[in-house]
Amino acid sequence: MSTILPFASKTVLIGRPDYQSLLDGVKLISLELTRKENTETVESKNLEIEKNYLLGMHCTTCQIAFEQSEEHRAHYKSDWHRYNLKQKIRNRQTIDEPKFLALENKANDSSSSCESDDEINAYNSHFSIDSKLFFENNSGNAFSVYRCLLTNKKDIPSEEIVVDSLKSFSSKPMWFIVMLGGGRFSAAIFKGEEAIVHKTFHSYTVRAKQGGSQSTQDRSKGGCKSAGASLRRYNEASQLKHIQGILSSWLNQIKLCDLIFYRAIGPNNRNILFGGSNPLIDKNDSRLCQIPFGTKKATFAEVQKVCNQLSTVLVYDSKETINNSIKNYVLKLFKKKKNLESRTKKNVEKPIKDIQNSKEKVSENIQPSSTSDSSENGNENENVKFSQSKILCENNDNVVTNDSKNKKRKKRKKKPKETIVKCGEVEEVKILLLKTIEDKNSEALSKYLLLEDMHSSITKEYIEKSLNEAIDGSNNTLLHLASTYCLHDHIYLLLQHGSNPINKNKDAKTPYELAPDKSTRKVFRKFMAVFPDKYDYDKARLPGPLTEELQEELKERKKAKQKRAKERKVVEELKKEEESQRQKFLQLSDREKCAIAAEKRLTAVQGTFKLLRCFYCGKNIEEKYPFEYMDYKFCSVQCVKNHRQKNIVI
Amino acid sequence: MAVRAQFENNNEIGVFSKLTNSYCLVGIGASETFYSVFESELSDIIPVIHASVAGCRIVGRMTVGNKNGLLLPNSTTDTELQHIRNSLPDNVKVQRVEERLSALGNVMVCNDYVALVHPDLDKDTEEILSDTLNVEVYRQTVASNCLVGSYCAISNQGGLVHPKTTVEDLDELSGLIQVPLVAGTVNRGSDVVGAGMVVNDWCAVCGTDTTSTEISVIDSIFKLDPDGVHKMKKLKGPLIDSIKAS
Repeated sequence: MSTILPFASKTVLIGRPDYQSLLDGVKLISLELTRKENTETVESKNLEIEKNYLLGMHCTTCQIAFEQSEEHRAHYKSDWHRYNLKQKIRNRQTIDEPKFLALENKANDSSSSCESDDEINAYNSHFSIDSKLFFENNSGNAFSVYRCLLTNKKDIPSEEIVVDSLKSFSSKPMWFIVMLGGGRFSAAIFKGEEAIVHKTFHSYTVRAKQGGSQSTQDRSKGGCKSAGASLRRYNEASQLKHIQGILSSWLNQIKLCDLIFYRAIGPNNRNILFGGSNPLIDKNDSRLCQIPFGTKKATFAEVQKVCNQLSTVLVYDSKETINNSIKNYVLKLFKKKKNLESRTKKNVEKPIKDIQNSKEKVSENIQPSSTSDSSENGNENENVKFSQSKILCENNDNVVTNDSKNKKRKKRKKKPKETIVKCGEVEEVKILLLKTIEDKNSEALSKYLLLEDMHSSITKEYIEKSLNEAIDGSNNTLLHLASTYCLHDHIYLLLQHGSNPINKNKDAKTPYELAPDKSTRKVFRKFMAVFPDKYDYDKARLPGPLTEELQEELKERKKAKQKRAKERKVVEELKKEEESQRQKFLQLSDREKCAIAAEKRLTAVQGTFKLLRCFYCGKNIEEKYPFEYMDYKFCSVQCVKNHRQKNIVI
Repeated sequence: MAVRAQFENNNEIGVFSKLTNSYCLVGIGASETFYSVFESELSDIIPVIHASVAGCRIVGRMTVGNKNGLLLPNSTTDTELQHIRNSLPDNVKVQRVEERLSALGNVMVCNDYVALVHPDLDKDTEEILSDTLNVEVYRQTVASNCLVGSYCAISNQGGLVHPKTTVEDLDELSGLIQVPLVAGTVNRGSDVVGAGMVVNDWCAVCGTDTTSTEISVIDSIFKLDPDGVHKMKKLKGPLIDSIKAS
């Protein structure tokens, strides 16, 4: 992953005048990539590349062709080519690029720890793309900032918040950086680039040669009574006290800091900072974040380096290059993900299984229950002969009732009367709506949703509530179920009436992700195109809207593809015919061949007979001067030779 | 036109000599007939250097070079290196490389712009090669053979490769080297093309066994016979016209 990003053209420190000039019209670079586009662009590219195969711009080892000769040349420098070349020499199978990348990543993961001895350059290449956010501004520049400076939330919050915090950096931000590990401690408070206070010290706490701290060793294997051990034990205790002393004396300054960065690996080190009855730093402090890249030993120089690197904004020349590299990265991730998915093929079946499991549980629970439940059990018996999906839906019913009962029980303790009534009504609505999904009856659903055919007591509120509440044991909503069963009309109706697509089920899947086929996913995207602002589609994990234009474009592409396939078929048929003619001709005796040749000569004027063929291999030699001996005609000297050897004339 | 020569009854000229556009190395201790072939062809244009590498006369297989530089294996002695450096033109860089595959001539082949190398070659060597010889380096095989130096001979005009190279491979290689290539033999059917002959932009030397057909292929692909070919082309036009007229 180290070569993902291009080199930055310049660097700017946060808070400086140059930095302010960067912020003109700043916004996040969007990473909108739809899966479909990816595959299709790749396909069309492949077709173009096929042509280039003829021009010598291909690598036979890696079975790949290129559009441009620069690409072709660069390919020979790639590790992938070298790997394949070596495989080929050893008569092993060559592999394609995604497989190689996966292989490389595996190797990288295991060996990354021993690569960290280079200079700052190595640092720059070590961050993961996630720990930086990429922005673009009005002047066309792209630049990256460490994410932890802008937000310490796990999910990236909305763009405005990030941009606001990007703009809110003062000219000299106050940062507190503390690093702790291996008996070394280094901390400093920076104002801008300048360290106001700093302290670094090292105490002997790590067991020489064996490694690991003394306290860990003591805990796992019991106390050792050697002189070194007691020395280390003492040092550990004194280090803790020392650090506490330092930090508590800085407490006023720390309070003023904008951000706190820490690096403390392992429970021991973390305990020093956050542990104890009166912790030095509050764990839930909103300013707190980990240093988002690898560091060396905790020294003051290193702390300075960290501060410098964190406050550096890398400015890239053009938006396009950075966009491309990000896209590549995302593509790679996507490919990896895809591989994983294909390994666990049962993804689609999973919710169904979940439902089955819950059914079993439910049936156990239900037996000693009220009359309404038993009537539903009766229903279930009636429906045994129906398709599986229907039966599953029945089970969902049971699950619902069961859930609702639990809820009732819970809620009864708090607010006795009203809620029961409400819940009851919501449940009623849910059951009605579920029925429509079982029956695949979208008309009924639309009627219900428009409050026709309903009790007067049920209002819109209830319906909306029921649409967004979990309906079975694995927390699926109605939209989830509709999506799993590919009920397109249902999905559209539900979305229209406020069923939020960001609801997640037990597996943290949104309805869109549960959709088993393309057409169902399209329904979601079409809805997104019509109502672009109704829901937070990013959270619903929709890749983008499917507008009319996009659809037409896709259709055209498909047509073009079919056309090409047809053309290819025609060519193949021609080839086949030629082959069959050749075979027929070969079965004739030489005499007959002679006769045909003679006939051919005779009828040349009329042009009725087919082709003049080589007597040995049957190749078409119409346009060539044939090699002849004794009235026999051949396409090449080799054929003449072979023919003569076969029919030796003495 | 390519010339024929023999090194002590041995036809593998590429083994005992190295020919580039700015110098020529020949193995020491051969007969005067061998040297005279080179000297008559080259000596008024480029230096012909009598040399040995690591005490061996197989200079062609041990070294690799072009007009910009010369690489020698690590086994070259200091005196040999000194001698070669003294005899070469000043603008030719000489470099000794530490490479496990010590027969550099067998594992690399280059013209003045491009080099093909053995897939297992060290990365450092690759870098030195591209720096000293000013070439773009590609790792590739020739007809599934790793010893690219043995199985092909290239100049800035064209190249001759192992006879069993497939058409696809030929396309690919000529796309890389950017010169026309042909699959062929030297020394009456020998497939070790690189070891059987030496070539630069205006002259080639091959073994005495080489047939006239092979010579004509060599001449045409390396464009060694500008006079002859062009004369024929020039003659052909009017000749055919006159035939048509009559």
